[in-house]
Amino acid sequence: MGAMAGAMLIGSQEPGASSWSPMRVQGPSTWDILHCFLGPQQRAGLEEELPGIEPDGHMGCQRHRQRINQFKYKAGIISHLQKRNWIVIIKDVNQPDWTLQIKPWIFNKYRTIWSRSYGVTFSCLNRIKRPPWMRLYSTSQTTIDSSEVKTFQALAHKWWDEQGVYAPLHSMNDLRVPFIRDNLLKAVDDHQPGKPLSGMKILDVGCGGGLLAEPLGRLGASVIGIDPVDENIKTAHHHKSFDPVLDKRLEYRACSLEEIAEETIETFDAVIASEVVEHVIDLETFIQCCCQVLKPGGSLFITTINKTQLSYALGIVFSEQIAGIVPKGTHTWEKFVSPEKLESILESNVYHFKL
Amino acid sequence: TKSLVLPLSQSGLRLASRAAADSSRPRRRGYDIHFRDKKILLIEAGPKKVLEKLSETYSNRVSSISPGSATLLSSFGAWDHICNMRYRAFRRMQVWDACSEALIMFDKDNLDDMGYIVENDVIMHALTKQLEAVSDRVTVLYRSKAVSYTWPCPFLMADSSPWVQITLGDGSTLQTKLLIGADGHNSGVRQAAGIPNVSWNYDQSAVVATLHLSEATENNVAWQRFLPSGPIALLPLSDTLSSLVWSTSHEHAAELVRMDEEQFVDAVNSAFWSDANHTDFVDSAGSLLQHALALLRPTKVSARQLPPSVARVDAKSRVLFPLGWGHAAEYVRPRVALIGDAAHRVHPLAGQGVNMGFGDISSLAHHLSSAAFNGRDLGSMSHLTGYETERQRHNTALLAATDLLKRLYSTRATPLVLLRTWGLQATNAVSPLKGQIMAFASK
Repeated sequence: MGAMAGAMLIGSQEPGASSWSPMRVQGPSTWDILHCFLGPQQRAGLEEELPGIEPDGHMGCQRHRQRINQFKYKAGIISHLQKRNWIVIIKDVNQPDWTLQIKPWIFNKYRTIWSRSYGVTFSCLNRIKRPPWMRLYSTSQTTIDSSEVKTFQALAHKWWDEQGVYAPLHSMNDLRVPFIRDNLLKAVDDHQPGKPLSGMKILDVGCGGGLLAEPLGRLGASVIGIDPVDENIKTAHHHKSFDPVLDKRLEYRACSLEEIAEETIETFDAVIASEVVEHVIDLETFIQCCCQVLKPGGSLFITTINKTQLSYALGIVFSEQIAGIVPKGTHTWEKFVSPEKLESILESNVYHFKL
Repeated sequence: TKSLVLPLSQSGLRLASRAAADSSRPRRRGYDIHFRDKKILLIEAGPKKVLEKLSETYSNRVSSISPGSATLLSSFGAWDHICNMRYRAFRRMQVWDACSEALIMFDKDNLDDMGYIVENDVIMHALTKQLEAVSDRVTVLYRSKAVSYTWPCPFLMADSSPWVQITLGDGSTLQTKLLIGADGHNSGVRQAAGIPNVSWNYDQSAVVATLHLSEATENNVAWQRFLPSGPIALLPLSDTLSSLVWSTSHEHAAELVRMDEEQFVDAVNSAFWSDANHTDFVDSAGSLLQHALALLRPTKVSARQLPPSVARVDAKSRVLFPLGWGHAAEYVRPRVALIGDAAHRVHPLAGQGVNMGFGDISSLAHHLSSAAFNGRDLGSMSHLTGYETERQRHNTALLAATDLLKRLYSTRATPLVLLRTWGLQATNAVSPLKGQIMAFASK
């Protein structure tokens, strides 16, 4: 961390303003700027990935506290990334400095750091042993979208009404449970008759009210279900409490994937993210964490809606607006994930997968 | 808490086999492994019937078991017990009219068994034996009655259980995920659940008796004659014994039970043999059609055969019971299912009442098994409605046909007699149609 000299912030941001504005950062390399935003794990990962950034019009984009990817400089891409709360650092060929495009609330979070850094090198931050306010960006929810959380909070008590708003998810169980069961059985040589999944540990990410966790529990698996919405977990707890068998086999926690990933590395036979990835902010980290908690040879099941014209027409226009099958605002088409995108993310994370 | 509760009816036939069918059965002998960890409870109002030794005299209540039902019973091992006791297979069935010469003869191509006549007691005993074999997963509460039921709310409430609660006569309560009502045509479960039921009483009672034939024959034909007062049927029990089921008006039935044995035997014989109801007009019309059919299809012409004559009737074997028709509008509600007579009640003229019940059982067992393999909650409506659709489609057709036949054959009015004579003769001539009817009835 030696070369952290001379990085300066120029310009400031009015707190409370909602639009993006550039803050030019002076410094020999983006690396210096980015380092202060990253935690130790991500920093180590970065050092492997990015030996340097070429100052020829490429821009380095940093997701809020995440890894770096590099894209060709295009105006449309900047706005696209800004919608996803990415901190965008741009290097213009004609300028010696790097420009930081940052949203006000992120700025507000780190204002303390930056005001200190004005005229002061960032290297002093490394000497400080993780003061409490730095914890803000190295732990807790990174993949959770708070607007999605609000949407689902309102519907938390309706999970188990089979004819209610969640009826499509109930009927999807007819497809999901046999799919998961059959694929897990293939991986096992012999199994107890009557309880095909006994002995398996499964993590259900975004379990909601436990719609998928309960059938899997009945088939013998021990399931841990996690969901960021507290009310969902309460509903799920309440529903399973009536059945003594399920009460023992299922466990629900209101937390995010990142939180549980730290405690449970390589413990699960299967991780299921069903109808979740289209509600998540940072897909790559999400999948990374999923792979972290899987045992070697474990299975990751992802079900989601494909991002096509048809899915827009049917999934959003028809289901939400016309027929009212799904409550308005449940899905945003921009967040749908296409198989190709999933494939590219998975390729970089896992050795062997099937779509 | 149990997974499945079946309150029982007086006959208890069906629910006992339901329990045996549902109970976890090891895969080796073709049992169903998906119910392995489910607990089943039977609530039976009557006492436990233990049959140490099969009695010499045949019981007067018998059932005609179709091959489909026999397959169901053998799938969980009860048929073996029945075979070790006694049953009678019949290979041919002749149904004919009292008002004309028309008849229809059913038989299978290779003269295979068309069905089996088994006494109800024998079936009950076989099922009880089988229940004892799986007693680790099935519990039977004898002499207990369910007094009241508490149904689950449609949505999740804070403090109420989503399961069905049952209060027994002795005050104890049970909770179950699925309640199966198999308690006969006056089903308490159906009434408590408020399921609407369409039903009416026929102005008929059935008289049953065990008859001794005058000479030993290869007794493997079932006979049924449609008298204007109601059908009379003779079902083979052994080489010398047959069972009688005679549906007739209430007054005539009471008289038949009251009269002394010789008079009764005479009445039975004349009912089968007498041609008093024939009219020349209908006879000539019938033979006209017969000639026409013979020209079109010069194949075998089945001549009318006469059933064996009856010599004696077993003392004290004459009993009567009233007949009616009933059909429940819904077979299922959340966490409740109706099977057997609780769902439908039919005239015995087609011998299908018990077989429809067994069909209900095998369908419900199949749906519950696949639901259990998919990890579903057993009381969930999604697979229960699948069972209801499948069985209602089959049962409604059969119920409607049986009722229609009963009404059609209850008159002596010449136009109807003519119609049914020609209809019967035509059906007899068309073998594919007969084959279809047999296939539908033997499911």
